[in-house]
Amino acid sequence: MEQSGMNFSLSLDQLELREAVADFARKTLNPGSLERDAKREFSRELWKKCARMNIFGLPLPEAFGGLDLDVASIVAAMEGLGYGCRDNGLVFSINTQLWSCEIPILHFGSDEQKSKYLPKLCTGELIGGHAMTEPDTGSDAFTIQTRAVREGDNYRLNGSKIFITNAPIADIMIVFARTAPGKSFMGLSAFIVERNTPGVAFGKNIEMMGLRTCPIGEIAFNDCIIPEGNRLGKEGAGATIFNSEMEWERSCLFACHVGTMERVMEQCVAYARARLQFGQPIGAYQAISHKIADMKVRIELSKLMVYKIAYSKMNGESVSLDAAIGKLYISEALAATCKDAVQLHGAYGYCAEYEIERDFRDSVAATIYSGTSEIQRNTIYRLMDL
Amino acid sequence: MDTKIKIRDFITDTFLKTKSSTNLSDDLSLVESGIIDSLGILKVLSFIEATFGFKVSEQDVVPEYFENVNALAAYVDQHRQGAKKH
Repeated sequence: MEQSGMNFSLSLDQLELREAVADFARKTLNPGSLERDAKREFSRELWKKCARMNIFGLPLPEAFGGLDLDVASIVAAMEGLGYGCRDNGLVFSINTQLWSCEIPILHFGSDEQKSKYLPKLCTGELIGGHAMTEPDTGSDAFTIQTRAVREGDNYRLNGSKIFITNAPIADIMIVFARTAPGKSFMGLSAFIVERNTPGVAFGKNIEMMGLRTCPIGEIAFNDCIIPEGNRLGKEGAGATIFNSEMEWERSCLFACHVGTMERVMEQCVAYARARLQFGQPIGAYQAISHKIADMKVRIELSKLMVYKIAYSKMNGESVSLDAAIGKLYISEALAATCKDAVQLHGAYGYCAEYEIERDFRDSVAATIYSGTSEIQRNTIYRLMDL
Repeated sequence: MDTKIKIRDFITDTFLKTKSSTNLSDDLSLVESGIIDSLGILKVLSFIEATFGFKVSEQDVVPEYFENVNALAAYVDQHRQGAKKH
């Protein structure tokens, strides 16, 4: 498609990459996904297989073992992952490492930090995440109370984090803490904290409504000593690092959701053709066909948004506004599509075996993580210069 | 127009237009005074890049460069000179 200087068409290489990732996910990641969801089980073995597929190397330079792909190619691969993989929890874990751990180290880390962590994140030897949310701060993220007090060449870290994706399994975490009280969002800094650091305690899995194969937990820091060399970026750069991560996450994670919607819609189309009621396929009824038409509309608009954002990023343009628009629209579109899919399948959609109800449970989280729908609307309004 | 005046005018027009006082001193902390928040910074970045013609590195969005009008103007002048040399 080409208009007004915008060209969102994918190259043959990008199309092949999307299909290769989808095919890998179908064959390798889907077997046993129903059982893992029921047991709330994360699979380190599958994580390693994703690493061998170089999923964790998509955005990383070759020097660190990565593929050094452009943003549009990464988005194509993410779309393929969401399309092929039914294990939405695993997809979320993967994305957390990519955008909230690898990307900030790549963009803000010292040469030493990059060399130490990125190759091992790429090979799956290390699992990464980031820790921002606290019991009293969610949407109001920059009011966190975890403190990092400078003591010579170290920082003393105290505080607690909650709802931290990958926390129960992570080897390293990007932890955000306040280094300068009174300086609001400019008083935050980020630190790379290794799991075995004395004073760090990881809590057990928190049981969530969906994304059950993605371990989510608490972390407590009790007089935890972090060397200055583990500070990521300059002191006071925490909010910028966080915003940068979120922009990448909103740009790329949500491409997975476009793929998920495509998969769900195809399942609905197949069911609408095969399921007979009152003497004809249920797809012949407008009550059903309109649901599927709405799914198609959501998918096409979501695709336009993720590829527009991808190409804007490649051109070095600011995508803060578009990323908020895309995140809001795609997350709401995913939740609406999965809810419609349950309704369309009737009782079959409500039972676990069809895996539609799991997509629905998982989809609700998308309207909350990476900034709630309400926060996206606030961001959009604020960036519109009204 | 002087860098400092352009920055001060932008901040006044963008962030203080609904405030009762529009007297912005050049050494007033923009963050501690609550004039600029985390989304406001994005507007400042866009303004600098569009007005002064260089890309602000993500790594530079730290208090030492964004503390007040004086710090911002010094940062901009330093990078404009750097851009001209290349």
